Amino acid sequence: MAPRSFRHSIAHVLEGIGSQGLILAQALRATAAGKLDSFEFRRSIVRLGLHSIPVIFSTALFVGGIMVVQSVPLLQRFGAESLLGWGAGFGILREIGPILTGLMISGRVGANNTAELGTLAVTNQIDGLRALAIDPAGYLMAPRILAIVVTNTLGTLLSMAVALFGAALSGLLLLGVSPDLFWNSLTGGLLDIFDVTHGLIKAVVFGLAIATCSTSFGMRAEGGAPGVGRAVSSSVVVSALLIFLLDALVSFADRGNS
Amino acid sequence: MIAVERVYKSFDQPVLRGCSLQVARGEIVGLVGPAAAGKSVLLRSLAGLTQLDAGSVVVMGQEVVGATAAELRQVRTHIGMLFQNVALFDFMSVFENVAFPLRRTMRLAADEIALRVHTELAAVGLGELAQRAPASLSGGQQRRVGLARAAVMRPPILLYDEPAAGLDPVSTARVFALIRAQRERLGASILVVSSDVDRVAQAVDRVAVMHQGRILFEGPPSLAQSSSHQLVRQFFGEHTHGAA
Repeated sequence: MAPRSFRHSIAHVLEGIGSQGLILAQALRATAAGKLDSFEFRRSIVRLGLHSIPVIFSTALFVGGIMVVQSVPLLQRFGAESLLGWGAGFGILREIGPILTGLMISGRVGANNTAELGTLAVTNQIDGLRALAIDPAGYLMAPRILAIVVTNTLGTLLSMAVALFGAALSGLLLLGVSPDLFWNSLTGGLLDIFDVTHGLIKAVVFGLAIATCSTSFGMRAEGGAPGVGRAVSSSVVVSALLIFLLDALVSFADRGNS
Repeated sequence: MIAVERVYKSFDQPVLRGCSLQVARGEIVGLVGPAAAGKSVLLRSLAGLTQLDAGSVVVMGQEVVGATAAELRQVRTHIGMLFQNVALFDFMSVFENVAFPLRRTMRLAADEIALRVHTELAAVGLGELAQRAPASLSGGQQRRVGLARAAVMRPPILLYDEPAAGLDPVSTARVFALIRAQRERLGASILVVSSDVDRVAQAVDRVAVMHQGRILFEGPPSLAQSSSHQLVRQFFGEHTHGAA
């Protein structure tokens, strides 16, 4: 028979999965019923999305450049500098862009979302909404979930573009690969639109995971400020695990297009 | 207005054990008792914020126990509520806090909303502080904003959980005076949970004494000291002696 702590952990995980499913279902129902608060959605997009641009931009620029730095010895040994655009593009569009953005959004936006909702929960402000006959699904959950999915998807597109720019810049400075050669290698036929859509599918899936995970942990927070801290920590860890798990699943499911 | 019949609720241990309570139209009822008696749980259950295990709660003719989310929202349109920790929305100003339920649930012009908000804030003596953030107010002022927000929809039922908790005697007296004024102004039925037995006894029409999840006494405060239940006599006797 399994030890009590193990069974408790399994029950906790199942409760978390159930809670996320419930949160998503409530948000979808509120959205379908036209109860999504458009003002809160716009506010969330600005606060969560626009303010994330600098961090996405700077990390993507460096990661694109570092990818080239790491591959320089290998490319030079095989004289494959002309394949730099393909190599960078393949990695960035299918993996680095979506994962990097997902982790950044999880750490910045997801954590912020959990902290805000957790604070509302432990101070009875969510019950305050309910007592005023206001459905938290339409006012709090749906706008934030949609804003995070949109932010993660557009952020991934931005991250892909900036990382490719960083890789091209690095290639020019370190290998002397001209931007034309980089571009031709990127668009020369080895990569196609499916590589972009593969990355975007991941972006949407990751965004949904981050949004439901951070919202679920926030809405269930209890126990004052320490409880909010625990919720934020759990939200970031579980979101990161989900991102890698879903990355593997999507990559496996879409392997025919690679 | 409110009819509670033999309600039960357990968390790790039983909290409500067959409570029954009635609140008539325009009546102020005080729900008093020692800590952990189940007062706040009972109050929350009236608004459907705590799901009961068994029993019946009828608010304005609508059953709350087992109600759907949509039915609960309908019930809550009849209720104004003040939580023990007030639960003002800290990301809004005082004005926005009071205006929020009007904006969300009623189709009113901005002028009408502003008029009603300023009327409610003036009624609790906070007209000058409308643009302040809740965090910048004192505890007593926050509770008065909570009273204004609860009453702004002019609901027929007001539920107040420890409206004077942590306040000095002067502020406590002011809060209870405001509650009585709300009854006169709105004609609302008001259920007040409070540990301040002396003040409650002066402000309410009837009092219900709760202990270990049961209502031990229900009636006019003047009769509580002659209750057949020793704990009720002690509870009121000790407090009234303490106040003397």
